[in-house]
Amino acid sequence: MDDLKDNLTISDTDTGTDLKAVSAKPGVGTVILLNAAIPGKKYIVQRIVGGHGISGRLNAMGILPKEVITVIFQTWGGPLTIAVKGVRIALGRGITHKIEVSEANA
Amino acid sequence: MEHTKDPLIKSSNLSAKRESINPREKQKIINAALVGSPNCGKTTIFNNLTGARQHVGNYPGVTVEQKTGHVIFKGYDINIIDLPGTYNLTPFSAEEEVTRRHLIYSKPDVVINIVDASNLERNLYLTSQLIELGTRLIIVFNMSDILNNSGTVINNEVLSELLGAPIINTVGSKNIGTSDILGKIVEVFESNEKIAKTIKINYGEEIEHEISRMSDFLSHNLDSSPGFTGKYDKRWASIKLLEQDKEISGELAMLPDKEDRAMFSSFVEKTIRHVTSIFADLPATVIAEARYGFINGALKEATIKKNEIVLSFSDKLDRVLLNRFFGLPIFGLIMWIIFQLAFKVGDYPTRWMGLGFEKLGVLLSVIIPAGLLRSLVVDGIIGGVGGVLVFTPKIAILFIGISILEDTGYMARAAFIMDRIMHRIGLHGKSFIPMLIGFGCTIPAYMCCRTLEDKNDRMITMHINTFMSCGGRLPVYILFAGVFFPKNAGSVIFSIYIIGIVMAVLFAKVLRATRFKGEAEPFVMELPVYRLPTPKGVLFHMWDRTWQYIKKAGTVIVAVSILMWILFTFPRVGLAQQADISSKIATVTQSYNRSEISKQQYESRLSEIKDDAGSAKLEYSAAGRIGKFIEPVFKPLGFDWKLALASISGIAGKEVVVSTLGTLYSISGNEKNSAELKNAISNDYNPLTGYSFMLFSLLYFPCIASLAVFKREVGSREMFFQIGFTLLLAWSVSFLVFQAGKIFI
Repeated sequence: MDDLKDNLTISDTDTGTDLKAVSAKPGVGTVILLNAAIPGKKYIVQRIVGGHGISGRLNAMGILPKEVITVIFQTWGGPLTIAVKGVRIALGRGITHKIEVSEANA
Repeated sequence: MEHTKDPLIKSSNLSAKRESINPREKQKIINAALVGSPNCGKTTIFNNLTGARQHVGNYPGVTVEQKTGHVIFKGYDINIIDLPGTYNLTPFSAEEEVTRRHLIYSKPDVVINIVDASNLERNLYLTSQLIELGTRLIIVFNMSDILNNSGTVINNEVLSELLGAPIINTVGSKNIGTSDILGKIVEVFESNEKIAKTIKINYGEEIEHEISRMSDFLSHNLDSSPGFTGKYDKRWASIKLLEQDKEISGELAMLPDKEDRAMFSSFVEKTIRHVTSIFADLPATVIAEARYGFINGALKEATIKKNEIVLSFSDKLDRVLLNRFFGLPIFGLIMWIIFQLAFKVGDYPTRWMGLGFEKLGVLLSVIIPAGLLRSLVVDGIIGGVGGVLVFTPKIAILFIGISILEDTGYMARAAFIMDRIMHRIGLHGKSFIPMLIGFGCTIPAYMCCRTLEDKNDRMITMHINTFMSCGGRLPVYILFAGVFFPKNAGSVIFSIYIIGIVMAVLFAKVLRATRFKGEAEPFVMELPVYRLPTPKGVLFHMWDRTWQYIKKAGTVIVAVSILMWILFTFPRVGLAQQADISSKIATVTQSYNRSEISKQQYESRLSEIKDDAGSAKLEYSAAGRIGKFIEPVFKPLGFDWKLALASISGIAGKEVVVSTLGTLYSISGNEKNSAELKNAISNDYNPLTGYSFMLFSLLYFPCIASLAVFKREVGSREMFFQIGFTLLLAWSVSFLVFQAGKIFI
C-alpha cells in the first residue's frame, strides 16, 4: 500500500492538477522541496512524498499539509531544523527531499 | 490553580512499608498507566509518584524496558506503569508498539496522559488518540509554570469539558501537584461512569462516512471471528484501518479463512484508494489533520489569553552548538571531557575499591581456614567479581555524563550533528549514541539501540557495537601495552581503539550491503528545549544504568568466577605428586638450615620448585587440559595455551582475561603481584604476540552477559551470528597481523 501514494502523485502531475496547491490560499508561491528552503523564512507544507510510514511519523510530530513551518537554520547543505507547532524539529537530508513546501506570504 | 506540596505522599511512603502489599485485597488495587510524548517530563512525574519503589523489567517478547512502581494512597494500592514515550498510537517503533499494546490489552483502570503544557497543541495530538481509544483519562499539564510565565491563560475547566477528561496542573521538576494526580486517580477510579465522557472526534463528512461503512463491514463479516471483534472497538479499528495501521491490518491478514482475508484486504484497499482520490492525500494524513483541527478548536475555545512562547535562548544556543563549523568540534570536546573525567578521575575510586577488595580477601583469609573454601571465596569469587566491580566508578561517571547530555536536551543535537557522518556509513544519527555508550559498556549500549525505529538500523548498530572497545577490555590493553610498549602505551592503546572504529565502519557497510539491505531511516527528531538538569534526575538515570552493570557482576560474573575456579582447581594433582613436592621443599629447607646454601639460593630454589609445582598443577587441571587442547587453534596467532585459555575465559568478560592470567601465574603459589605478572608475560611473549592478543581481545564479542542481552534484544539467531562473525574476524585479523609481523621482525 506504500506504493499507493506514489502512483497517485504521478497521476496528479500527469493531469497537471495539483489539488493541494489549488485548494491552498491564493498567492501560493512555487512549490519547492524543503531542502531548498531559506533559513528564517516561513513555508506552508504542501505535501509529504513517501510511504505512509514516513508521513505518519511526520504528522504525529506536527508536520502535515497546510501547516506553517519556519526554517530555523540549515546545517550542511540539507539537514535543517524547523519550528512547527512551537517545537524544534531536526530533519535529516534524506527527509527534507520528501517534504514539498511553498513560501508563506506572511 | 492550587498546588499542594504533597505531605500526603510522605506519609503514604511510611504506610507503604507498614502495610506492604496485601495480595488478597484485590479490589483495592488500581492499575494506572503513564503515557506521554517524548520530552514531556513523564519520567520525572513517574519518579515523583512512585519514589524509589520502582521495578525495572522487560516486556515479555519485546525489547522495551518496562518500569513499574506502586504507591499507597487513600487506602488504595496504586500500581503505576511508565509506558515508553510516544507521539502516536499508530506505532512506528518497538516502543510505540508496546505502549499501544498495553493500553489495548492490559486495559489499565486509569490512563494518565502527561502533557508538556508549554507545547499544548502538539502534545494533545496523542491525547486525541487516547480519547479515541476510549480510555479513562486524566490529563496532566506538566511544566505548567512555563505556560503560566509565558502569559498564556487557559481555562482548564472548559478544556477539560471539551476533551472529556479532568486536567491537573503540575510542575514535575519541583514535585508540585503530585498528590493532586494521586487524588484524581482515586476519584476517577471510584466514579461509576465507565469512561468520564465519550468525546467523539469528528473527522469530517467523507471520512466519517467511510468509517461507518468500514465498521458496518466489520460487524457484518467479522462476527464469525470473535477474536477480532472482542479485542477492538469497531469504530476505532476502522479508523486504524484507514490509517493503514500495520498491526490492525495484520490481524485481518491472520483471519483463518482465505476468502475472508482477500475480501477484507480488497475492501480496505478500495476504501483507502477512494479517500485518497478525494483528498489527494492519504486518509492517514486527512485523519491527522482532523485531529489537529479538533485540538485547535478546543484550545481556541479554552484559551483566555494567548502569548507565544519564544524560544530565543534555545535557538541562540543551537546556533552555536549546531553550527556547521563549530558543532562537531564542540561535540568532540564535550565527549573528550567526559571520557577524561571517567578514566582519569574515576581511576581514584577504582584504585580504592581495588584496595578494598584486597583487604576483604585478607580479612576473609583470616576468618576462613586454609583450604578449598578459602581458595574459592578469596581467589575465585572476590578475585573475579572484585576485578569487575572496580570498574563501576568509571562506568558510573560515564553514565552521569551521558545522563546530563540527555537531560539538558543536547543528546538529540549530538545525534543530529552525527547524522551526516553516520549516513555515510549507512547508519542513522541516533546510532551514534549507543556506539558512544559502547566505549563504556556494551550492555547499556545494546539497550540504547531500542530508540532506533528501523529494524535494520538497529541490527547493524548492535552488531558493530562489539567493535567499540568497552571499558572491560581496557585492563587487557593496559597490561599488554604496559609490558611490551612501555614508552608508547598510550598510542598503542589508541591504535587499538581506532582499529575498532575502522572495523565498525567497515562492517556497517558490509552488513548493510549483505544482510540488512535498505536505506537508513530518515532522520526526524524533536530538539527539546534546553533545560537545566536536576541532580536528582541525573542520579536516577545514572543509577538505572550502573545498576545493570553491577547486576551483571553479581550474577553472571559470580557464576563464571566459580566455574573458572573449579576448572583451575580440579582435578587436583595426586597425593604422590603433592608428597613429592613437599619432600623437595623439605630437602631444600634442610640444606638451608644446615647452611649448605645461601638464603638467596634457598629462595630461588624454593620458587623454582613452586613454579614447577604450579605449572604441573595447572596443566593437570581441567583448565590446563582445555588450554592444551585448543592450543593448536591459537598457535597461528602466536598464542600458547595460557593465552588461549585467557582468551576463552574472556568470554565471561574481558576483564577476566587479566584475572585469569593472574591466576595462571599465581597458582604457582607466589603472591598475586602485578609486577610479577608483567615480568612473567614479558618473559613468555614478545611484543608481536602482545599486539596480536590485544587485537583478538578487541574483536571478539564483548562478554557472555552482553550476549545474553543481545539474545534478549534481537533473538538467538542474531546472537549466534554475532558470535560466529566476531570470532572469525578476531582470529583472521590476529592471524594476519601475527604472520605479517613475523616476516618483518
